Amino acid sequence: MKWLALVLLPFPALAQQVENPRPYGWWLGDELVQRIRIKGQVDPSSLPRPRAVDYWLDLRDVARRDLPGGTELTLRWQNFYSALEPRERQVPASAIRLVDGTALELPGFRYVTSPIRPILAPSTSDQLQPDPPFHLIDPMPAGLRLLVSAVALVAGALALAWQQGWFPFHRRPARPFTRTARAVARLPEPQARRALHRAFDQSFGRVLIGAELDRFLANAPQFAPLAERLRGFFAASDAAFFGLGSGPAQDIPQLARDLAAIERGRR
Amino acid sequence: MRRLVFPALLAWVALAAGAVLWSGWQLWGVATDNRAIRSLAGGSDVALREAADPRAAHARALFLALRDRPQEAEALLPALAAAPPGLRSEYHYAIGNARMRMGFERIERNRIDEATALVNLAKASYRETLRARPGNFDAKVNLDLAMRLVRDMPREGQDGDEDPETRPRRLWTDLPGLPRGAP
Repeated sequence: MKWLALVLLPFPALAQQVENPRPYGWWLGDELVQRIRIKGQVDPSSLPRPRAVDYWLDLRDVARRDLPGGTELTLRWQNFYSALEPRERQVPASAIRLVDGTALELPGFRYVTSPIRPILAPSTSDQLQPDPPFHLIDPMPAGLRLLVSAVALVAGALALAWQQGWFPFHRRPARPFTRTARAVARLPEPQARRALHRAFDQSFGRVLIGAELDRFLANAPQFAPLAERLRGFFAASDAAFFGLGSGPAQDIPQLARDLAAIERGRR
Repeated sequence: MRRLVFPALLAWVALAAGAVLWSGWQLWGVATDNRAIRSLAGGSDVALREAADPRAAHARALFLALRDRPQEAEALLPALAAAPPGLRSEYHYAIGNARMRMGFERIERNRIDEATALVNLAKASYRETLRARPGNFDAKVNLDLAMRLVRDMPREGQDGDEDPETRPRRLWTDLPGLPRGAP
């Protein structure tokens, strides 16, 4: 059986599919793409190096792609043979190796390259093709990018101002504490107290009295951290408005600012 | 969730402001480069800015090549390293054309050795042109023209079938000329 194994050993060398470029109709500078499918793993270090193979032939690029059970090699050659008449050229074969050590030959191929100018065309300076043109840069993409980002900036700034109750939206009804916090900074205590009560009424949807404070906090749980101070504020208001003497002094502007901060999601 | 809205909006505005600044700077760069390209096309030399667009570098190279200064144009190659292949192809093509014009001018003055050297350099430039874009037909025609002026010769000791990779390294430089009949 040993001899059979020896006979079968070089078999992978035959198991390759070659897709050669067409054999006719090539000009100076054309790129010829050769695809070779090989069974087995190719040793990458044994692949031909991209280089000038001959004075008339360049190997531009060797690409390797793993397929199930094999490898696909793509060799890109470039023809620099300046033919005076249609002429057949032979691309040389190159030796490679599989990872298991089997030696393998990538086949060469033949192609016919033809002259691009008539044989009798004069070689004078007026036969030179013209120089390339100047290229301007299209400012459209950069301008469009600027426009889009400017629109995004304006939209973002407007959204921020709306959410925070800033300038064009500083009278926004849904931000009663924010408006009041600005107003009470300049008001004396009794008016500030009334203004803040109006803000509570607006936030609650109807008139809010001290007894309903727990309901208010259940509706708007974000104000719960201030519950103690709010209770104190309502107690002091009852005292001030209904004549039960005056409660302890309170910093109403500070309370309004804290409420406003919570209302705008800043705390 | 409620607390996320404010920082998210702040981040959005900051990002958008950054994008406005960046794209504004880009647009300014495009306008500057376009002014430089117009001025070069109009025939007056200008210095390019540091991070100039490859098309501006191409315009300057073309300006130099049209004035028979291909060596200075070649020094601009690093500025075109990131350029698309079509633009790089045109850049090498312009340099090749400049060398060909200089070569023809030397031929008219009967300075054949100089002309040969220039045409060989032009051939190298046209080869680079075709390497960057194999479909550049103007370059194919001009390379063919250059090849007919100065043919590529097989190197001595090379019969075409033998690959330079498998041959022992050549330690001595070539002596010029010694055509052996084959193209």
